[in-house]
Amino acid sequence: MKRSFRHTTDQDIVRLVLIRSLASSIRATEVLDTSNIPSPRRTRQSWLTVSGSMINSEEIKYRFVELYPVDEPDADDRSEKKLAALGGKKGGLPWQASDHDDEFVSLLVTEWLAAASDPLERRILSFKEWSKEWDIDNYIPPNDTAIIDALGALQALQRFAVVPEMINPTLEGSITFEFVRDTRYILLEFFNEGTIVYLDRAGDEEPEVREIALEDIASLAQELSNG
Amino acid sequence: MDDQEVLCTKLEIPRRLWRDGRDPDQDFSNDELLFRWYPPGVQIEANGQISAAAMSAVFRDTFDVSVAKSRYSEHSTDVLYNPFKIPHRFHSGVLEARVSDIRNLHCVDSLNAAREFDFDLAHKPEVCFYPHSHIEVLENGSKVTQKPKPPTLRTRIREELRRAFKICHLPDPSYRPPGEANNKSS
Repeated sequence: MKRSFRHTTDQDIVRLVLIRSLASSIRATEVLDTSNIPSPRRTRQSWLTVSGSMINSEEIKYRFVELYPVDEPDADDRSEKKLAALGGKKGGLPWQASDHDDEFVSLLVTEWLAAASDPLERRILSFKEWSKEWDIDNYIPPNDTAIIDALGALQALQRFAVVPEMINPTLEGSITFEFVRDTRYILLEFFNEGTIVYLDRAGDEEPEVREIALEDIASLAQELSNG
Repeated sequence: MDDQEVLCTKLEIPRRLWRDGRDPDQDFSNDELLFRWYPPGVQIEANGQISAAAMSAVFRDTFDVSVAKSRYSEHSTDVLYNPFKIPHRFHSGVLEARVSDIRNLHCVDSLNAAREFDFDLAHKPEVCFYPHSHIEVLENGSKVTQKPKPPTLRTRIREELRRAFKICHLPDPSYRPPGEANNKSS
Protein backbone atom coordinates (compact mmCIF):
# COMPACT_ATOMS: atom_id res chain seq x y z
CA MET A 1 0.00 0.00 0.00
CA LYS A 2 1.38 3.38 -0.96
CA ARG A 3 1.44 5.67 2.05
CA SER A 4 1.70 9.40 2.37
CA PHE A 5 2.34 11.28 5.58
CA ARG A 6 0.58 14.33 6.91
CA HIS A 7 -0.52 15.98 10.12
CA THR A 8 -3.68 14.90 11.87
CA THR A 9 -6.81 16.90 11.17
CA ASP A 10 -10.06 17.18 13.09
CA GLN A 11 -11.66 15.06 10.42
CA ASP A 12 -9.20 12.27 11.12
CA ILE A 13 -10.30 12.21 14.72
CA VAL A 14 -13.95 11.78 13.98
CA ARG A 15 -13.12 9.19 11.38
CA LEU A 16 -11.31 7.24 14.04
CA VAL A 17 -14.53 6.85 15.95
CA LEU A 18 -15.91 4.99 13.00
CA ILE A 19 -12.75 3.01 12.78
CA ARG A 20 -13.37 1.85 16.32
CA SER A 21 -16.72 0.42 15.36
CA LEU A 22 -15.31 -0.97 12.18
CA ALA A 23 -12.22 -2.55 13.66
CA SER A 24 -12.94 -6.06 12.49
CA SER A 25 -13.79 -5.22 8.93
CA ILE A 26 -10.93 -2.79 8.76
CA ARG A 27 -8.52 -5.55 9.60
CA ALA A 28 -10.18 -7.78 7.07
CA THR A 29 -9.88 -5.24 4.30
CA GLU A 30 -6.56 -3.71 5.29
CA VAL A 31 -8.10 -0.29 5.47
CA LEU A 32 -6.22 0.23 8.67
CA ASP A 33 -2.92 -1.28 9.55
CA THR A 34 -3.84 -2.40 13.04
CA SER A 35 -1.75 -5.52 13.03
CA ASN A 36 0.28 -4.19 15.90
CA ILE A 37 -1.32 -1.17 17.48
CA PRO A 38 0.90 -0.43 20.45
CA SER A 39 -0.11 1.63 23.41
CA PRO A 40 1.05 5.22 22.96
CA ARG A 41 2.56 4.85 26.39
CA ARG A 42 4.94 2.26 25.04
CA THR A 43 5.72 3.93 21.76
CA ARG A 44 5.09 7.13 19.94
CA GLN A 45 5.44 5.44 16.63
CA SER A 46 2.03 3.85 16.26
CA TRP A 47 0.80 4.86 12.88
CA LEU A 48 -2.66 4.40 11.60
CA THR A 49 -3.86 4.52 8.05
CA VAL A 50 -6.86 6.74 7.57
CA SER A 51 -8.22 7.56 4.14
CA GLY A 52 -5.02 6.40 2.53
CA SER A 53 -2.78 8.53 4.70
CA MET A 54 -0.68 7.70 7.72
CA ILE A 55 -1.34 9.58 10.91
CA ASN A 56 0.28 9.33 14.28
CA SER A 57 -1.90 7.98 17.06
CA GLU A 58 -0.06 9.95 19.70
CA GLU A 59 -0.72 13.16 17.84
CA ILE A 60 -4.37 12.19 17.53
CA LYS A 61 -4.61 11.76 21.25
CA TYR A 62 -3.28 15.21 22.02
CA ARG A 63 -5.34 16.84 19.29
CA PHE A 64 -8.37 15.10 20.71
CA VAL A 65 -7.75 16.55 24.14
CA GLU A 66 -7.36 20.01 22.64
CA LEU A 67 -10.69 19.66 20.90
CA TYR A 68 -12.60 18.21 23.81
CA PRO A 69 -11.03 19.57 26.98
CA VAL A 70 -12.41 18.80 30.40
CA ASP A 71 -11.66 20.52 33.68
CA GLU A 72 -8.91 18.44 35.11
CA PRO A 73 -5.94 19.64 37.13
CA ASP A 74 -2.66 19.68 35.36
CA ALA A 75 -0.56 16.65 35.92
CA ASP A 76 2.36 14.97 34.38
CA ASP A 77 0.23 13.51 31.68
CA ARG A 78 -2.82 15.73 31.21
CA SER A 79 -4.02 13.97 28.14
CA GLU A 80 -4.24 10.64 29.90
CA LYS A 81 -6.31 12.11 32.72
CA LYS A 82 -8.59 13.91 30.35
CA LEU A 83 -9.16 10.84 28.30
CA ALA A 84 -9.92 8.91 31.45
CA ALA A 85 -12.38 11.60 32.53
CA LEU A 86 -14.20 11.19 29.26
CA GLY A 87 -14.58 7.51 29.85
CA GLY A 88 -11.44 6.42 28.10
CA LYS A 89 -9.09 3.80 29.31
CA LYS A 90 -5.85 5.08 30.71
CA GLY A 91 -3.16 4.43 28.21
CA GLY A 92 -5.68 3.66 25.53
CA LEU A 93 -6.19 5.21 22.16
CA PRO A 94 -8.66 8.07 21.74
CA TRP A 95 -11.50 6.09 20.26
CA GLN A 96 -11.76 4.06 23.41
CA ALA A 97 -12.83 7.24 25.12
CA SER A 98 -16.09 7.19 23.22
CA ASP A 99 -17.33 3.89 24.59
CA HIS A 100 -20.69 4.19 26.32
CA ASP A 101 -20.64 7.96 26.14
CA ASP A 102 -23.65 9.09 24.15
CA GLU A 103 -22.93 12.76 24.56
CA PHE A 104 -19.44 12.28 23.27
CA VAL A 105 -20.61 10.30 20.28
CA SER A 106 -23.24 12.92 19.52
CA LEU A 107 -20.55 15.57 19.59
CA LEU A 108 -18.45 13.54 17.21
CA VAL A 109 -21.38 13.12 14.84
CA THR A 110 -21.75 16.88 14.82
CA GLU A 111 -18.04 17.24 14.18
CA TRP A 112 -18.28 14.71 11.44
CA LEU A 113 -21.06 16.63 9.76
CA ALA A 114 -18.97 19.78 9.83
CA ALA A 115 -16.02 17.94 8.34
CA ALA A 116 -17.77 15.61 5.94
CA SER A 117 -17.26 16.40 2.30
CA ASP A 118 -18.70 13.20 0.89
CA PRO A 119 -22.28 13.94 -0.19
CA LEU A 120 -23.45 10.51 0.95
CA GLU A 121 -21.98 11.06 4.39
CA ARG A 122 -23.67 14.42 4.55
CA ARG A 123 -26.96 12.87 3.51
CA ILE A 124 -26.78 10.27 6.29
CA LEU A 125 -25.83 12.90 8.85
CA SER A 126 -28.77 15.06 7.82
CA PHE A 127 -31.40 12.44 8.64
CA LYS A 128 -31.81 13.61 12.22
CA GLU A 129 -33.42 16.75 10.89
CA TRP A 130 -35.83 15.04 8.56
CA SER A 131 -38.90 15.65 10.70
CA LYS A 132 -39.33 18.77 8.58
CA GLU A 133 -38.99 16.74 5.43
CA TRP A 134 -41.61 14.21 6.47
CA ASP A 135 -43.81 16.90 8.03
CA ILE A 136 -44.83 14.37 10.65
CA ASP A 137 -44.65 15.26 14.33
CA ASN A 138 -43.69 11.88 15.73
CA TYR A 139 -40.84 11.15 13.37
CA ILE A 140 -38.32 8.93 15.13
CA PRO A 141 -35.00 10.01 13.65
CA PRO A 142 -32.04 7.69 13.34
CA ASN A 143 -29.96 8.01 16.50
CA ASP A 144 -26.18 8.14 16.74
CA THR A 145 -25.91 4.35 16.79
CA ALA A 146 -27.76 4.01 13.49
CA ILE A 147 -25.87 6.92 11.96
CA ILE A 148 -22.44 5.66 12.98
CA ASP A 149 -23.26 2.14 11.80
CA ALA A 150 -24.47 3.52 8.48
CA LEU A 151 -21.40 5.72 8.08
CA GLY A 152 -19.17 2.78 8.92
CA ALA A 153 -20.93 0.59 6.40
CA LEU A 154 -20.68 3.32 3.78
CA GLN A 155 -16.93 3.46 4.28
CA ALA A 156 -16.65 -0.31 3.95
CA LEU A 157 -18.71 -0.21 0.75
CA GLN A 158 -16.79 2.69 -0.72
CA ARG A 159 -13.53 0.84 -0.25
CA PHE A 160 -14.83 -1.46 -2.97
CA ALA A 161 -16.36 1.37 -5.00
CA VAL A 162 -19.83 0.12 -4.12
CA VAL A 163 -22.49 2.77 -3.64
CA PRO A 164 -26.10 2.11 -2.59
CA GLU A 165 -28.62 3.23 -5.19
CA MET A 166 -30.87 4.58 -2.42
CA ILE A 167 -30.07 5.82 1.09
CA ASN A 168 -33.02 6.91 3.20
CA PRO A 169 -34.21 7.26 6.79
CA THR A 170 -37.37 5.56 7.92
CA LEU A 171 -39.95 7.21 10.16
CA GLU A 172 -39.34 4.67 12.88
CA GLY A 173 -35.68 4.96 13.79
CA SER A 174 -33.55 3.34 11.12
CA ILE A 175 -31.57 4.04 7.97
CA THR A 176 -31.87 1.99 4.81
CA PHE A 177 -29.27 1.29 2.12
CA GLU A 178 -30.75 -0.30 -1.01
CA PHE A 179 -28.92 -1.89 -3.93
CA VAL A 180 -30.46 -3.00 -7.21
CA ARG A 181 -28.49 -5.33 -9.49
CA ASP A 182 -30.68 -6.42 -12.42
CA THR A 183 -33.41 -8.46 -10.72
CA ARG A 184 -31.54 -8.70 -7.43
CA TYR A 185 -32.55 -6.32 -4.65
CA ILE A 186 -30.53 -5.96 -1.46
CA LEU A 187 -31.40 -3.90 1.58
CA LEU A 188 -29.34 -3.06 4.65
CA GLU A 189 -31.29 -1.52 7.51
CA PHE A 190 -29.48 0.11 10.43
CA PHE A 191 -31.74 0.29 13.48
CA ASN A 192 -31.42 2.65 16.43
CA GLU A 193 -31.15 -0.39 18.68
CA GLY A 194 -27.86 -1.31 16.99
CA THR A 195 -29.25 -4.16 14.93
CA ILE A 196 -28.37 -4.33 11.25
CA VAL A 197 -30.70 -6.33 9.01
CA TYR A 198 -29.72 -7.73 5.63
CA LEU A 199 -32.38 -8.61 3.05
CA ASP A 200 -31.49 -10.17 -0.29
CA ARG A 201 -34.14 -10.91 -2.90
CA ALA A 202 -33.64 -12.36 -6.38
CA GLY A 203 -36.63 -11.55 -8.58
CA ASP A 204 -39.83 -12.93 -7.09
CA GLU A 205 -38.12 -15.56 -4.96
CA GLU A 206 -38.50 -15.64 -1.20
CA PRO A 207 -35.91 -13.21 0.18
CA GLU A 208 -33.15 -14.10 2.58
CA VAL A 209 -33.53 -11.97 5.72
CA ARG A 210 -31.14 -12.04 8.65
CA GLU A 211 -29.12 -9.89 10.99
CA ILE A 212 -25.66 -8.98 9.80
CA ALA A 213 -22.61 -7.75 11.68
CA LEU A 214 -20.99 -4.51 10.63
CA GLU A 215 -17.73 -6.30 9.96
CA ASP A 216 -19.46 -8.57 7.42
CA ILE A 217 -20.48 -5.65 5.24
CA ALA A 218 -16.99 -5.53 3.74
CA SER A 219 -17.56 -9.06 2.41
CA LEU A 220 -20.88 -7.98 0.95
CA ALA A 221 -19.19 -4.97 -0.64
CA GLN A 222 -16.56 -7.22 -2.19
CA GLU A 223 -19.25 -9.49 -3.59
CA LEU A 224 -21.20 -6.56 -5.04
CA SER A 225 -18.07 -5.04 -6.55
CA ASN A 226 -17.45 -8.28 -8.42
CA GLY A 227 -20.79 -7.89 -10.11
CA MET B 1 -70.93 27.06 10.10
CA ASP B 2 -70.38 23.67 11.81
CA ASP B 3 -67.16 22.40 13.36
CA GLN B 4 -66.20 20.49 10.24
CA GLU B 5 -66.67 23.52 8.05
CA VAL B 6 -64.66 25.72 10.38
CA LEU B 7 -61.81 23.20 10.58
CA CYS B 8 -61.67 22.15 6.93
CA THR B 9 -62.07 25.70 5.66
CA LYS B 10 -59.21 26.76 7.90
CA LEU B 11 -57.15 23.89 6.51
CA GLU B 12 -57.99 24.98 2.95
CA ILE B 13 -59.14 21.52 1.92
CA PRO B 14 -61.67 21.28 -0.92
CA ARG B 15 -65.20 20.42 0.17
CA ARG B 16 -65.37 17.31 -2.02
CA LEU B 17 -62.80 15.71 0.31
CA TRP B 18 -64.63 16.47 3.56
CA ARG B 19 -66.37 13.66 5.36
CA ASP B 20 -69.72 15.50 5.40
CA GLY B 21 -71.42 12.87 7.53
CA ARG B 22 -70.63 10.00 5.20
CA ASP B 23 -70.16 6.54 6.72
CA PRO B 24 -66.96 4.57 6.11
CA ASP B 25 -67.09 2.50 2.95
CA GLN B 26 -65.31 -0.80 3.57
CA ASP B 27 -65.89 -2.01 0.05
CA PHE B 28 -62.53 -2.05 -1.75
CA SER B 29 -62.80 -3.34 -5.29
CA ASN B 30 -59.82 -5.24 -6.63
CA ASP B 31 -59.09 -2.72 -9.36
CA GLU B 32 -59.30 0.25 -7.00
CA LEU B 33 -56.12 2.23 -6.41
CA LEU B 34 -54.54 3.38 -3.18
CA PHE B 35 -52.44 6.55 -3.11
CA ARG B 36 -49.62 7.28 -0.68
CA TRP B 37 -47.44 10.39 -0.49
CA TYR B 38 -43.69 10.59 0.05
CA PRO B 39 -41.47 13.64 0.67
CA PRO B 40 -39.21 14.95 -2.09
CA GLY B 41 -36.02 14.14 -0.20
CA VAL B 42 -36.60 10.40 -0.34
CA GLN B 43 -34.60 8.51 -2.96
CA ILE B 44 -37.71 6.71 -4.05
CA GLU B 45 -36.83 4.49 -6.97
CA ALA B 46 -33.87 2.74 -8.58
CA ASN B 47 -34.06 0.49 -11.62
CA GLY B 48 -37.75 -0.08 -11.10
CA GLN B 49 -37.53 -0.86 -7.39
CA ILE B 50 -39.41 1.38 -4.96
CA SER B 51 -37.53 2.23 -1.77
CA ALA B 52 -38.55 0.51 1.44
CA ALA B 53 -38.43 3.97 3.02
CA ALA B 54 -41.73 4.75 1.28
CA MET B 55 -43.27 2.18 3.64
CA SER B 56 -41.37 3.47 6.60
CA ALA B 57 -44.36 4.32 8.81
CA VAL B 58 -45.70 0.79 8.96
CA PHE B 59 -44.72 0.24 12.57
CA ARG B 60 -44.48 3.83 13.76
CA ASP B 61 -47.46 4.04 16.10
CA THR B 62 -50.67 2.98 14.48
CA PHE B 63 -49.17 -0.13 12.84
CA ASP B 64 -51.09 0.78 9.71
CA VAL B 65 -50.04 2.35 6.43
CA SER B 66 -52.01 5.47 5.55
CA VAL B 67 -53.31 5.67 1.99
CA ALA B 68 -56.08 7.45 0.10
CA LYS B 69 -58.89 5.45 -1.48
CA SER B 70 -59.17 6.26 -5.17
CA ARG B 71 -62.98 5.90 -5.21
CA TYR B 72 -63.21 9.12 -3.25
CA SER B 73 -60.21 10.88 -4.77
CA GLU B 74 -60.69 13.00 -7.84
CA HIS B 75 -56.95 13.10 -8.43
CA SER B 76 -54.11 10.93 -7.21
CA THR B 77 -52.56 14.10 -5.79
CA ASP B 78 -55.51 14.64 -3.43
CA VAL B 79 -53.44 12.63 -0.97
CA LEU B 80 -51.07 15.60 -0.78
CA TYR B 81 -53.62 17.53 1.29
CA ASN B 82 -52.66 17.38 4.95
CA PRO B 83 -55.90 16.79 6.89
CA PHE B 84 -54.41 18.06 10.14
CA LYS B 85 -52.44 21.19 9.40
CA ILE B 86 -51.13 23.47 6.73
CA PRO B 87 -49.02 23.82 4.66
CA HIS B 88 -50.05 20.91 2.50
CA ARG B 89 -47.60 18.54 0.84
CA PHE B 90 -48.04 19.72 -2.72
CA HIS B 91 -44.30 19.51 -3.41
CA SER B 92 -44.26 15.79 -2.50
CA GLY B 93 -44.57 12.70 -4.67
CA VAL B 94 -47.31 10.08 -4.85
CA LEU B 95 -47.16 6.29 -5.09
CA GLU B 96 -50.02 4.04 -6.08
CA ALA B 97 -50.90 0.40 -5.46
CA ARG B 98 -53.78 -1.69 -6.69
CA VAL B 99 -56.06 -3.18 -4.03
CA SER B 100 -55.72 -6.67 -5.52
CA ASP B 101 -51.93 -6.43 -5.34
CA ILE B 102 -52.04 -5.52 -1.66
CA ARG B 103 -54.42 -8.35 -0.87
CA ASN B 104 -52.24 -10.84 -2.74
CA LEU B 105 -49.18 -10.06 -0.62
CA HIS B 106 -48.09 -12.71 1.81
CA CYS B 107 -44.95 -13.36 3.82
CA VAL B 108 -43.67 -15.45 6.69
CA ASP B 109 -41.22 -14.75 9.47
CA SER B 110 -37.86 -16.09 8.31
CA LEU B 111 -37.16 -17.29 11.86
CA ASN B 112 -40.57 -18.82 12.49
CA ALA B 113 -42.55 -20.05 9.50
CA ALA B 114 -45.65 -20.43 11.67
CA ARG B 115 -45.97 -16.65 11.73
CA GLU B 116 -47.71 -15.73 8.50
CA PHE B 117 -48.54 -12.19 7.45
CA ASP B 118 -51.22 -10.88 5.11
CA PHE B 119 -52.57 -7.44 4.34
CA ASP B 120 -56.04 -5.97 4.23
CA LEU B 121 -57.67 -2.59 3.89
CA ALA B 122 -59.84 -0.43 6.11
CA HIS B 123 -61.53 2.86 5.26
CA LYS B 124 -60.77 5.32 8.08
CA PRO B 125 -62.24 8.68 7.05
CA GLU B 126 -60.87 11.86 8.60
CA VAL B 127 -63.10 14.87 9.17
CA CYS B 128 -61.45 16.83 6.39
CA PHE B 129 -60.23 13.90 4.30
CA TYR B 130 -62.83 11.26 3.58
CA PRO B 131 -60.61 9.04 1.34
CA HIS B 132 -58.21 8.26 4.20
CA SER B 133 -57.68 4.51 4.58
CA HIS B 134 -55.27 2.08 6.17
CA ILE B 135 -53.42 -0.94 4.90
CA GLU B 136 -53.59 -3.27 7.87
CA VAL B 137 -50.98 -5.90 8.67
CA LEU B 138 -52.46 -9.22 9.78
CA GLU B 139 -50.53 -11.93 11.60
CA ASN B 140 -52.22 -15.32 11.18
CA GLY B 141 -55.44 -13.45 10.46
CA SER B 142 -55.32 -11.06 13.44
CA LYS B 143 -54.53 -7.38 13.10
CA VAL B 144 -51.02 -6.53 14.28
CA THR B 145 -51.24 -4.03 17.12
CA GLN B 146 -47.73 -4.16 18.53
CA LYS B 147 -44.40 -3.58 16.86
CA PRO B 148 -43.37 -7.00 15.51
CA LYS B 149 -40.12 -8.44 16.77
CA PRO B 150 -37.40 -9.17 15.83
CA PRO B 151 -36.31 -6.29 13.55
CA THR B 152 -35.79 -8.76 10.68
CA LEU B 153 -39.54 -9.25 10.64
CA ARG B 154 -40.26 -5.54 10.34
CA THR B 155 -37.84 -5.32 7.43
CA ARG B 156 -39.48 -8.34 5.80
CA ILE B 157 -43.03 -6.98 6.08
CA ARG B 158 -42.00 -3.60 4.72
CA GLU B 159 -40.25 -5.35 1.84
CA GLU B 160 -43.46 -7.14 0.93
CA LEU B 161 -45.48 -3.92 0.89
CA ARG B 162 -42.87 -2.01 -1.07
CA ARG B 163 -43.24 -4.31 -4.04
CA ALA B 164 -46.91 -3.47 -4.54
CA PHE B 165 -46.30 0.25 -5.13
CA LYS B 166 -45.18 2.28 -8.11
CA ILE B 167 -44.68 5.98 -8.72
CA CYS B 168 -47.61 7.90 -10.14
CA HIS B 169 -46.55 11.49 -9.43
CA LEU B 170 -43.02 12.79 -8.95
CA PRO B 171 -42.22 15.55 -6.45
CA ASP B 172 -42.56 18.97 -8.05
CA PRO B 173 -41.85 22.15 -6.07
CA SER B 174 -44.23 24.16 -8.26
CA TYR B 175 -47.11 21.65 -8.30
CA ARG B 176 -50.64 22.65 -7.25
CA PRO B 177 -53.55 20.17 -7.37
CA PRO B 178 -56.10 20.88 -10.12
CA GLY B 179 -58.44 23.66 -9.04
CA GLU B 180 -56.48 24.23 -5.85
CA ALA B 181 -56.49 28.00 -6.32
CA ASN B 182 -60.32 28.08 -6.31
CA ASN B 183 -61.26 25.22 -4.07
CA LYS B 184 -61.22 26.81 -0.66
CA SER B 185 -64.45 25.36 0.76
CA SER B 186 -66.03 25.63 -2.68
